[in-house]
Amino acid sequence: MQSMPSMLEESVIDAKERFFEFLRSFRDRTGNYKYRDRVRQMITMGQKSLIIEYNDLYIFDTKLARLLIDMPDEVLRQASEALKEFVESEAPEYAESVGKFHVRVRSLPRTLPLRKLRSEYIGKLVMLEGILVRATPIKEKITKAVFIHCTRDQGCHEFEWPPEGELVGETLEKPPACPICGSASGTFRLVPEKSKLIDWQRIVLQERPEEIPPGQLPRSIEVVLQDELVDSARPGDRVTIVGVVRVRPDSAKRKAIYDLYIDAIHLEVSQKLLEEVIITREDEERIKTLARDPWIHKKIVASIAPAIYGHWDIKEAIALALFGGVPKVTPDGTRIRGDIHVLIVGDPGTAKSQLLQYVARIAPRGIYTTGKGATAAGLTAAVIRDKTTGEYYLEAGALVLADGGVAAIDEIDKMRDEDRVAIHEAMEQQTVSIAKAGIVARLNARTTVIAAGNPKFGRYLTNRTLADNINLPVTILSRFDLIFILKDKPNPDEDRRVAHHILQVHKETEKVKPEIEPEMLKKYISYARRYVRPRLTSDAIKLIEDFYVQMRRMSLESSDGAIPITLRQLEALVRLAEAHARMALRNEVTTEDAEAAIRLMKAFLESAGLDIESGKIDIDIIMTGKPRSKQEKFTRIMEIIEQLESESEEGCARLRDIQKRALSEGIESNIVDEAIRTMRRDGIIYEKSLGCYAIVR
Amino acid sequence: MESRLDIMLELVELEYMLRPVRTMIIRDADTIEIDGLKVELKKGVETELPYWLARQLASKDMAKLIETPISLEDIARLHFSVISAKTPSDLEPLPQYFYQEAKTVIQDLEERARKELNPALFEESQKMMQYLVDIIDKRLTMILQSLRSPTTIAELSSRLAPEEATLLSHLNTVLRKWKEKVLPRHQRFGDNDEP
Repeated sequence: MQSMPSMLEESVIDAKERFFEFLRSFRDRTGNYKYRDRVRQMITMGQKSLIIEYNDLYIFDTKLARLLIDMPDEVLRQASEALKEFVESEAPEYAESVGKFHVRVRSLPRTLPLRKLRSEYIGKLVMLEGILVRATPIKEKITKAVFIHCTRDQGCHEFEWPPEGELVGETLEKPPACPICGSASGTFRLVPEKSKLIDWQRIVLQERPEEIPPGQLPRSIEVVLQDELVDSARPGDRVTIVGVVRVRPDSAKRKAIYDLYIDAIHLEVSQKLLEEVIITREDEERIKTLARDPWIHKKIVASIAPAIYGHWDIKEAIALALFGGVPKVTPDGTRIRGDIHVLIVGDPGTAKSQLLQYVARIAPRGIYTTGKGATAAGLTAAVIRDKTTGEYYLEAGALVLADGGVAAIDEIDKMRDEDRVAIHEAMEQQTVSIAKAGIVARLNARTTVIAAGNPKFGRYLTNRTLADNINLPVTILSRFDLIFILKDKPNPDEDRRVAHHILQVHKETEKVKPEIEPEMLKKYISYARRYVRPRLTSDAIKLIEDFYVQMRRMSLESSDGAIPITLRQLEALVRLAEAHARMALRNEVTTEDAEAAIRLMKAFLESAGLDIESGKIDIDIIMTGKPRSKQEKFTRIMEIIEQLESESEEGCARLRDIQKRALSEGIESNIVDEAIRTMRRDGIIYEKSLGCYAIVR
Repeated sequence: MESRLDIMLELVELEYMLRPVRTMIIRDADTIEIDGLKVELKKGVETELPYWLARQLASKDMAKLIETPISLEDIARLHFSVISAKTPSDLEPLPQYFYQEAKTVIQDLEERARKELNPALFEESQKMMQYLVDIIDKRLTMILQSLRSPTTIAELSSRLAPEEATLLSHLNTVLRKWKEKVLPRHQRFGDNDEP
């Protein structure tokens, strides 16, 4: 095998010259001098980095390009000198004003999976892809230190360290002797203000969720960004990094053990959402053939978790959420989300988790997590202190990592308190804002949420409202476009059918075949989300409009004035109809799509938004947690307390009196107790003396 | 008489020529019928035609192939990955019809360079040719190496182009026959050879 120094002598000697020649004479397909133009552009824009395509260098000089992979430090150093020389010939003043030019290489022919990064790559140039999960704030790193050396005999004098041609590495060490006087004695003092500093940032790159082998932990690696690369990506961004693999001791105690890290020379944020799913020409043909099938909607719904019996509405809602509506940005910059959020609340053993796991498998960029979250960052994001370095990091949570995809959140009712606050913003504005420990950031979370939760009392109590049954604030509940309740009620016929299905699954597992294979379905969804942008037709608009107005009119006609539907549901209807059109790869939302959306919305309202007392649909059950009928009773109870308070000498209303007067108006005692409990909790009333209540003023 | 290897390679070429390609008709002409296949030549129509026919129509400026042919950049990328392979297990599969397509593209480029007297095109074809030769050399070395062990042959064969798989199978047969001739009967089928 050829030794490194001999390789250097044979090949690197003319690297500078060859690179200069590359900049001067490389022509692209159109015959243009690509890099001459780029250098001129770099000068005009006042930049100091030149980005080159690896393939261009490979075609120009295969040997030099291969050497760049094997000995990047040396080749890049010479390339940087060549670039400086080139700039000197074009703009001498600019070349002089910029200390060092950087040559940045992009698009290596091969991406190294993070999992395969081993010691054999140390010192080599590699390209990695992954998600940026953590980032430190920007710091400044000394590249050339200025020291003051003072001795009794010779006084004080300044010098730069390390000497000409070298730069400060990982650690800044005190010079062993003064290069001016040669003396090692006296004091050496660093002058940071006079030293040369560059921007520096440390980030953590993690494998993409879809690349992690089942049952394995995601791998991650630290990446150091310097100079113009700092702050070019945010946690949650999918990035491609080209850099040199380096090592550093993992801790001070165990000096023989080293950690790998990447010294980045180029970073690119992937703009192409959903492009990770590769669709070949054959796939495209199959997708188009499938879309022509008149039964495509049914086929897609039937392909969602075929091992799970029934739950057609929920499966349809999940299918629609996977396709999603079309996000819109109005000219004034307002963003309307296209993602459809679905919540399933159900008794234990109703296959909620299985449904969610299936969703994560077929969704492009699908992530499965639980309410507690797998990392400290939980569902949204967190500022975390690194135990070894003491540095603060901004770490992205599941909703940020699934940006552009689907987050299947199981046990959503058990999420952390911090997430409860941040999820509001994540679900509606589709961003996650954080301001802690000096880190202020807003991360993208354009994620569809498909969540499941367990009832608060173990089983879903039909005589209570939805908000009473689940440990989630109504503000979060109201952000879901569709909510379904899975009740485990014994029914002999249905039970026999379910039991038969499950036993068949156990007997002949291979017979549970989806109509569309999961891999194909994933490609189909990806294709639809990428290329299909349905627009509402006037017929569809009329249908949705009529439904909305008709539902609202019901509130005027009924005596209790319960509001069955609000603008939030209207927007949800549009999203559902768009998603339905997308399912058939249609660019127009037809009446058929609008009808499907309305049917699903009705099913949702009837299951989750039904006021058990009045037997009518009341959206306030989801929007405020209390049906309109109850709200009115609560208001009346407050008025009674107010009246009794003014009538009594004590200045408060006795519980007994409140109950008596309320009963005379047809309000039962249990409602009075509940109202008093709620009003005390909300700070509306207070207990002035034992069993006597007054209004807080 | 043609050897089995020749026939197999011809079959691979035939498959390439018969594969359907998306084609755009760019000039109106009468409908043509070839071997029962009716082709309506109407300007602006996009259709799927066998590759040989699409090329014929393209050469007469009646149609345009929609698929993008393999480029110098594509071959350079492949060259990088083939040359980086250290063992047969590192070898990656080539794109479908790679050899046939590369051969056609190089021939077309050479012809264009001659016609247009364009040195850049000539240089491009030369570079492509050099990459192709390197790729073939490297992959042949791996194929020859794999002949020493049947397990490697099995592992490698799924990653070979049809032309390479044909060659590997042919060489394997020749070697077996050769061993049958030169070795005494009880030594012919060692651990690594099948009877």
